[in-house]
Amino acid sequence: MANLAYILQESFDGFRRARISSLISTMTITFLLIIIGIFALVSTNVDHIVTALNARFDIQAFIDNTLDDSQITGLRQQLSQIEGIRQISFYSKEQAAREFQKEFGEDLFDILGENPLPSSFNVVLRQEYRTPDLIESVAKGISDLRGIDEVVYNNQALKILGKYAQMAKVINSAILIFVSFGSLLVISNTVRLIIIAKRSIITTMQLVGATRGFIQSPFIIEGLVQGSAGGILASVFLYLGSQILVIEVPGLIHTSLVIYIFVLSLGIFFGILGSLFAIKRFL
Amino acid sequence: MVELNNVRHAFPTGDGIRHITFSISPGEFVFLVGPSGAGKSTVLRLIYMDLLPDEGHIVVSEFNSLFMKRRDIPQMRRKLGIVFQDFRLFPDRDVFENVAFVLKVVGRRTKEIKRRVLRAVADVGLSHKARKMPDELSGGEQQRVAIARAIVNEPYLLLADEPTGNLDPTTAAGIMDVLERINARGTSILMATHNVDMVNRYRGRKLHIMNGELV
Ligand SMILES: Nc1ncnc2c1ncn2[C@@H]1O[C@H](COP(=O)(O)OP(=O)(O)OP(=O)(O)O)[C@@H](O)[C@H]1O
Ligand SMILES: [Mg+2]
Repeated sequence: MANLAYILQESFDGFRRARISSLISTMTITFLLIIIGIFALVSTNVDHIVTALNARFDIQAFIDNTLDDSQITGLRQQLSQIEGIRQISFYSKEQAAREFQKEFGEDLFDILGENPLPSSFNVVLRQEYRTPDLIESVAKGISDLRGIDEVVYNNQALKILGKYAQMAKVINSAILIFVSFGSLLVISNTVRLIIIAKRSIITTMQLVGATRGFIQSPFIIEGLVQGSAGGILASVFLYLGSQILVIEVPGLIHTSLVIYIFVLSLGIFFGILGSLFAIKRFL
Repeated sequence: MVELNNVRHAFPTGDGIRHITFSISPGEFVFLVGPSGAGKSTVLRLIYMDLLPDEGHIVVSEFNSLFMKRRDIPQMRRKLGIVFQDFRLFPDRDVFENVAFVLKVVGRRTKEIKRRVLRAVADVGLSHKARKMPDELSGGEQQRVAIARAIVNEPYLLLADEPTGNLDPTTAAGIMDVLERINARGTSILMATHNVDMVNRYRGRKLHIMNGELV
């Protein structure tokens, strides 16, 4: 117990005696964690970013011209049973003709004497279904319905985006690992400088019978506290930053508690491991 | 209890000590006397195993230099009190904390630490400076703090390297009184000094060292 009291006291004194260097270590950890946090946020939000930048992922399902109103109502009923659909809107032949006229400046009826455009459903998918694979399976489910002539959706664009998203994830993860490793080195070097400054004191401690554990525990506690402080600060910055972003571009990123827990744990991990690395090199 | 058997230690420069054989019985007061550079500090460093013999062996209590494991060293040093020639005080804490450190290392209770530290600090006449930092003390006062730290845990053997080196004759005599008191309580003492005149005024076995060898 006396030992624990000593260790806590000594760690606390460590901060008091070396306010500046403690502050520098904490700031270093905070800064690195913010960078890592940004990469982590991007990694976990690639899908959201893709969908937010391509909000118009809808499926057009063209209806067989021979169906009457009650059959169309039944079809809509069936459609709404399909998993992953958020919203269905009906476009009648007349609406389609009006749209056509708006777009081409010509009245089809005048030219052809009839309206060849089919009526259609416009299907908006739920957020989590907006991936190339899922969109395809939903589209397949729709086109399998009796009374649906044809299903049109822009899968090509999604696929290209998906491919880049995949690549972005890989590159992002690589950078994440790289930055994490670099952070560990930077932090352990900071601690090492602090320890070198205390080198003579540590030697004396050893000469009067202090064990390695006794000498290193305060450094580890200091690392732990600095890491936690860095983690909390970085989380606050990331939270505020993402809130600002979300106001600017709604739905661009989704932050979850997991990110903050990740950043905090990483801070603690860095703090402790950094101290251990630094001590190991010369104690 | 302490035994050096034909010990040799050479520094890379070629200086060092050789053929050192002697032992210290429990409760003995031994002076290691010799001129500057004779090898006194080297002998002491070998005993607290900051250096290891190139030849021969050293026994301190149940520890033998031939079989020392890394993790045994702190245990061995806790049985010793060491007054370093250059004091080796902790510059980052006050007199009380400097002395208290060795008791914290062995896990004594806070109350007992306080009692023992105040006692040791009083023994060296520094009660009124217990809250001073080392750099606020004179050389002689720093030396007395080093002595207080060495005696506070009632060591089995006290190794004192020139403990009166920086002191005026009166204060030096006061320190010798402290050492004799400690010795009377059962602690063996090995004191290194170059001051032959002073040594002759005290009882105790004298070992003379010259050019790294006992004479
Ligand atoms: N770390 C070292 N490296 C190389 N040579 C050393 C080292 N320490 C001591 N020596 C040499 O070993 C010899 C004995 O040194 P030591 O410090 O034991 O002398 P001493 O008797 O304690 O002298 P003093 O009374 O001046 O303290 C000297 O010649 C010294 O130069
Ligand atoms: Mg010496």
